[in-house]
Amino acid sequence: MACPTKNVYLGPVGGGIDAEILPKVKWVGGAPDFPTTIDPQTEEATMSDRSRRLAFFDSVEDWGLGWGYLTYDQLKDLRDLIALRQILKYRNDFVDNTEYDVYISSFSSGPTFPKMRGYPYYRADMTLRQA
Amino acid sequence: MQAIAPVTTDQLLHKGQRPLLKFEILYCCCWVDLTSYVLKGSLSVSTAGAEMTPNPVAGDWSVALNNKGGRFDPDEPGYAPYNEYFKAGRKVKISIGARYSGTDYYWRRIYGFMEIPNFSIDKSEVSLSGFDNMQFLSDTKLKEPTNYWGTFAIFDSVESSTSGAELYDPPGGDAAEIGGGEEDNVANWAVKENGATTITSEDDIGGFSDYEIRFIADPAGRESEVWYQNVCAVVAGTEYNVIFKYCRTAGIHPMLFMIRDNATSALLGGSGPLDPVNDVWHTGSFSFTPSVNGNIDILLFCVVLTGASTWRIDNISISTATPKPVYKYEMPEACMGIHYVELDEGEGFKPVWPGRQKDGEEGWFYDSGNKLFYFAVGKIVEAGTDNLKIHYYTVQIPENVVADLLARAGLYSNQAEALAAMIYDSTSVLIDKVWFNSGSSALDAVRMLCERVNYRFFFNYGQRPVFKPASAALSTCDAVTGWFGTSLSIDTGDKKQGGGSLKDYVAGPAGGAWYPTSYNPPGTWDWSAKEYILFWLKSDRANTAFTNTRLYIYDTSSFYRYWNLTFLAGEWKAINKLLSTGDGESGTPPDLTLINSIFITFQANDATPFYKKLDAFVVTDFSFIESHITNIRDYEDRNEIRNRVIILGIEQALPEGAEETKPSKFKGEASEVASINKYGEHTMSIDNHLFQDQATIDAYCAIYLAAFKDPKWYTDFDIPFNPVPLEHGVDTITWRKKYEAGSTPIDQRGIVRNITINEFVISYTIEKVA
Repeated sequence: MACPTKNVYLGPVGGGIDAEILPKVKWVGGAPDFPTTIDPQTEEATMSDRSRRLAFFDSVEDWGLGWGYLTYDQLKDLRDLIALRQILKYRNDFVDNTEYDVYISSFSSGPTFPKMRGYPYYRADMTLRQA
Repeated sequence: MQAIAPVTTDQLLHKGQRPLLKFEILYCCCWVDLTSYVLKGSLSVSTAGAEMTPNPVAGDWSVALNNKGGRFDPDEPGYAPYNEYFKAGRKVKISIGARYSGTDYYWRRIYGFMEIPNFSIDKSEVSLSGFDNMQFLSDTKLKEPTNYWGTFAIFDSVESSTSGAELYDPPGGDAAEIGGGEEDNVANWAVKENGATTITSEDDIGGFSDYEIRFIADPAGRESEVWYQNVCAVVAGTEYNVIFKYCRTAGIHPMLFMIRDNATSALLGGSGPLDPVNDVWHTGSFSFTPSVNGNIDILLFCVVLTGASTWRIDNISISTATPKPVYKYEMPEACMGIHYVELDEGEGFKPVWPGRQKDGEEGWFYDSGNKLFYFAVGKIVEAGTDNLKIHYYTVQIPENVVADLLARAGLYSNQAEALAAMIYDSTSVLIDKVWFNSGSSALDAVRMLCERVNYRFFFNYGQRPVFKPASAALSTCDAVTGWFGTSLSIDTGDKKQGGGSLKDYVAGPAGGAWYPTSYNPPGTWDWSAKEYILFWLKSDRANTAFTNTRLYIYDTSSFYRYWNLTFLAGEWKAINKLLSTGDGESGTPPDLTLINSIFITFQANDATPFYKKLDAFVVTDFSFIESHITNIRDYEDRNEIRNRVIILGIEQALPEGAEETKPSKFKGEASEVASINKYGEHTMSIDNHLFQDQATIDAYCAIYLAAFKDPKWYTDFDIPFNPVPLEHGVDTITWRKKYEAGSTPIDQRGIVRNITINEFVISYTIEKVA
């Protein structure tokens, strides 16, 4: 039995998430680890008797995505998402099927082999932050 | 306090919270939740409620929203409907809450209205702020003649004198003649003073006859006079009436219509300065009584500073007057005084001012004892039909007037609807004459009503109007009103707070008999959401000297709950009982929503006399301990001290003349020397015509002095992340303060006097009670 296809989706709200499949996350060597950072949102107050009271708010998650071998067109697709300048829908089948509201908080790219002109592949790193 | 169920007190007080807030606006009949745009730390609410003084207090709010991309900017057409959300007058709701057991709960803290939004383009923010419904009262202005509470009666006017033969009868007739002799000329008239002044006969424009006099006063900065000499002969000691029509058609200068003795040039009578709105006809009238026989002249006199003034005069009449007895109009039994009088003398209803006006030819009076209205002697009144409209006061209940004001502000359609929505206690006060000065706001009016009965007015969290007494205490025990016992008195020397304690003395008890002291004022109490009943108790005998010493509460069906009381002889004891459980109760427990009386009852063991002293009854809504609160600050507020109280009430009588300036207001004053010596003199001056008798003024001087002569103690503290929905000026709470570890905690109680919400931290100001 063939493995089910796993994709990473990122697209505008209301655009139909299935239409916004990102380029395959390509890697060399080990499997992708999709690094996740959780930023708990809490506040603390010291009371009259020096005890503490805590307020818990919804945590904010950051997801990292990376590509090593993008074509120029694939790279442009990613840059077009940044150009939308809006909150996006995100789903990563490699982790689970939950959809999140996110925005692109950082993005960097460059040639995969900087000293090999004419080798048309690019690397890119993107961080998504929960909106 | 707002209902919290199914949330529990333990959940509200838990040290870990998931706080929530909600900001909504009303757009196209739907509430739109904009919470996700609220910038962190920007939301603040100051609630309305009963404060120390009778001045109504408005709630206010402010918030800043993220406006990235100009989503809310009305000039950004691509963001409909967001770009239509923020406009002055938009309704707003702000709620604070938390998530408990996976469910979000919110309690509304203000229902307000948006002022003009403020857009910061550089910061991509929109700042919003506003008030609660109090804004409507502030914006509603009261105007004559609907600024009084009562009704009106219409009468036929009765002529004030009988006229004799017409004496204005120029030879050959002229343009101003009344009756059949009118002719197109002013042959008998002449210019007396100054060049450009003219007098001519013109075609009628006033609708009174065929011709009329035109007098153009144009003397280039000097006096202008026209006259008619030797109009007729008059007899010394006879009263004559002069009536004429006049209209100014151009210019701005006043004119006088005067009668002069021809031989001596002495002035015999005149109209006073006539300065009407241009192009409107009026009737002028006055009377005069010469002291010598002779002929008279008519002079029309005008001082023109710049430009010219043009007058039209017609229908001049001079006749002997045979005064009739002053006619007195009998007012309805419900009339408590006259507010406003209008008389139609052929030119529509015009006001007649009270008291004697302008040389005695104007004005009216009212004989309140016999409910009779009459015009000033000397005012010429012609007979008419349904032409006298007298607006008069009827007795009013303050809460009804407040409801009327709410309806006038557009918040309710009528008094009944406003009363149904309003949370109020009956004032049991009647006010004979209710009016507010023309131009004053409905908010001013509500303040005066609050001042009159020492009530507080505000809009609560749900925007329901609240009109309640100043004290949130169950009983301050400063008066015996509502209390019943064996021999009651107020002990002003031995007390825990306020003006005194309630003392019940039993001089000859019988062994085995019960001796109750009970409190049962009109109405019932809903204690279903209350926690404790607290009061102070003192007796000259310890509880062990009695067979039983108990506190009972009864509901309207006589079901009861009781608690046994313990105390030492001769010492004040703070009693604190949890309402939900007692030491015993009736087979059916009392319905805490319908409690109607409290009994503090002792069963005597022997015949030894004893007394009970009681003070400061309160029922509390919520309790905090030191781990629930922070930033505690206790202070005595001396700014509120008022140790001399002066109340000026209504005028006792109408002025006797136009020049009368001597005030005749009811006045009361009270002061306390001890407080003045200790804190310096601080005066409270109240000028409020709703105080309408001396006894009431004296009583309220004493009430306000007792309330303000001593400084109050307040406690401020913060409660972070706890959305307990306490109500400002309504709820009583207890809290505990404690210094360093190991010290003894001190229990405190007080009334919530201010609530400020800054996002998830709520700051309270509590007026401490003993």
